[in-house]
Amino acid sequence: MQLSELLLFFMTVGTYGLAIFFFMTGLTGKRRLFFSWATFTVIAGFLTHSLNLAWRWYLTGHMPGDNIYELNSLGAWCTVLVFLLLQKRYRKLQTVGIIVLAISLAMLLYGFSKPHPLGPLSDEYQSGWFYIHIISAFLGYSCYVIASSAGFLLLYRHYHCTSSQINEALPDNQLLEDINSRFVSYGFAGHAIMLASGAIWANSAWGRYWNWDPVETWSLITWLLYAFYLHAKSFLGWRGTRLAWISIAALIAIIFTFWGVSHLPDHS
Amino acid sequence: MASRSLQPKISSGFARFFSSRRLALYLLAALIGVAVLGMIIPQQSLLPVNDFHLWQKSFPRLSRLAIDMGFTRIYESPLFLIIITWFSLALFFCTVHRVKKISRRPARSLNAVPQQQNRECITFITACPVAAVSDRLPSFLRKKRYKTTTFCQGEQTTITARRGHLGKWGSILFHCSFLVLLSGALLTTWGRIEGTLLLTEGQSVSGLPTDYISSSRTPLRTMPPFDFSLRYDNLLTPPGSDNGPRNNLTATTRDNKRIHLQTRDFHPAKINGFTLYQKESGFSPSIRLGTNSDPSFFHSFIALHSSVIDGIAEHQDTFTVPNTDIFVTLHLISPDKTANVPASATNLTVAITRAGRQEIEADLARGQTLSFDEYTLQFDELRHWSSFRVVRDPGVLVLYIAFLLAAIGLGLRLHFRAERLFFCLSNYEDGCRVVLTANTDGEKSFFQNNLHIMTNHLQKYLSKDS
Repeated sequence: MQLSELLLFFMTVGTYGLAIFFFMTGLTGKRRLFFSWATFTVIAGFLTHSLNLAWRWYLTGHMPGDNIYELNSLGAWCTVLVFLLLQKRYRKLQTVGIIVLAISLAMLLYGFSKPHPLGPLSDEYQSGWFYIHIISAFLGYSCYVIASSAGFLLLYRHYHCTSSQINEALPDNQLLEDINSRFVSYGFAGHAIMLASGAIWANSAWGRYWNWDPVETWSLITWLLYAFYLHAKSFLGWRGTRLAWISIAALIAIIFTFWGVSHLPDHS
Repeated sequence: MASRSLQPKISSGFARFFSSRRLALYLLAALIGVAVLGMIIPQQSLLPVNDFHLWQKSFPRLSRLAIDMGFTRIYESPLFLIIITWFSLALFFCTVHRVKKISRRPARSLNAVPQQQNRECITFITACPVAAVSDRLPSFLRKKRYKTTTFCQGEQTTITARRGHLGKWGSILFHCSFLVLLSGALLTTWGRIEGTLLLTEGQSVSGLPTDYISSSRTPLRTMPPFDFSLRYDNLLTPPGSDNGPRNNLTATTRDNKRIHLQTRDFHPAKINGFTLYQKESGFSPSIRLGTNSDPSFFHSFIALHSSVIDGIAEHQDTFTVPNTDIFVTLHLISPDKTANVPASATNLTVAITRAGRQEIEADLARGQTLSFDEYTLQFDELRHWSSFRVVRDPGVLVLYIAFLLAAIGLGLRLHFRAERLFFCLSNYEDGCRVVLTANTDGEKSFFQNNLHIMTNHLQKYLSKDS
């Protein structure tokens, strides 16, 4: 990793960390002031993150996505992007940023702990479907992260929140519930495109569109979990905390797709 | 009250049972459960044989139980097939039921007040008289892409408006795409055939291309002959390239059209429904054996298997010359990992064994001849060979159609969210009292927000006209 890239990376990590600090302080202190500082810091962090990715793109000559470091960085970037777009429209949802940024930061640091070689794109990744696959995956997963963060805040208020100050800072339950369900449906669409483009890509590269291997099966399982969420909402009339629990369970399943599947017996 | 006759009727008990959405949801949960089970229990089709045996030794009782119940091949087990078939039937009947429900006309009744779920009520008073409001309101709503209907009953005027019903059709299309996808998967299961084609540079084939033919369900099916002839032109390993070797082929169709094809790793060539995936490649020396009476009784290209040991690529193979006791071992060493042999390379080592006893071993250059007993062995030339996996899968096209339908369905579902508005107009002093009841299939808070903005615009619109 070049020094310039390293510098941009740590600037991104630092600003995201600072934004989390401002959000946390805003929850207990002067809300308006700290939240606006936090927003400003997130935007600054997002810009350095974008520069970091663009610089890597320039150095490798291909869109980041060839190794775990690049994938995690791209995933974190998409998550922050979706959060900023959401926050632009619904100012009340700034508190969601604490969880969103914590997850993005974890992704960045996890990616950084893995090797990050600079090199040309592997042969099997040289397909237009691969780009569609990763972009739709990360946009979908970003929506899931937003949905689960809203779900988490809903559960926090329902089970633990005793401080009236924090309670005031959180968006109202209806909005949290709606964000949870709308972003699950957006994520579901992105996830579906990811599965479809992955199948087409696998067929063109390996001659099989579905092989029941652990990564694709686990990805299907999480997609079916979200399908269960959407149908439970429509047909069983489930609302509020029940759906929030499912969205959090499904997000854990997604995290398992990245970090846990390699420990399963069939993984090669 | 919605007319009873408008309710969709499902006469068959079979259909009624399968069109239960609750059942479909439970089957979906069962499908998730089976997939999770398939992840936890090692699958014979995925795990190397040795690893599977190791698992069997580590967990003898559990593995015996899993094998007996078919859980080690769970995606082919009766349990999985029953669930997926049942789920497909449920999906089909639920979709039919929903199509019937959506395609019926909206009830033209004054009581068609939006249902309780996600309901929002707004009341406002305008200076416009009822007649003027009932004239102008529909045009305002039409600008906002609502379809409107006006009812008059006594002094009360009711205007209903709805939009976003395409979203429901999007949902149906998405569910239909699943049925198409499952039929594509079925076609793949029963109709997919694949084999291996091993060709030496310059060789042409047009008939049965394969040394084995396989399909998961129909192992003895034969691959149909090509409707074109295929010539393997050459193998290229671009110097300094990280993209691996490339194979050039030329296909000649029945109408004598020549099509140039190129394959490289993970980038197959496609022609007339067949897909050629590049697999291994290596060197193929031409060996000619003869006697004084017949100078060329055996002439063939021998495909050498390649392996890289300590950074040096080695290529070797053995074969028995037909109708003789001559056993030949060929060995070629190339100095780099890319399996390239320099043009000047002369290092084909030939070892001849007869009746279990080694007769001779020598290095041969291209064009050189080796003599032993009454025989001569000549190393004519060196070419490349490549193997290709040939696949014909009729399910893929169906699958792509399913993906397209799913994408359109999802797009419609996300873009259009059904909204129903119910305006009740009544006289209020000199003006009109408007009671708006509305609901949506989408999220309440977003809808509330939009509805309040729209109501403000409506009030301005009406007051401007008055």
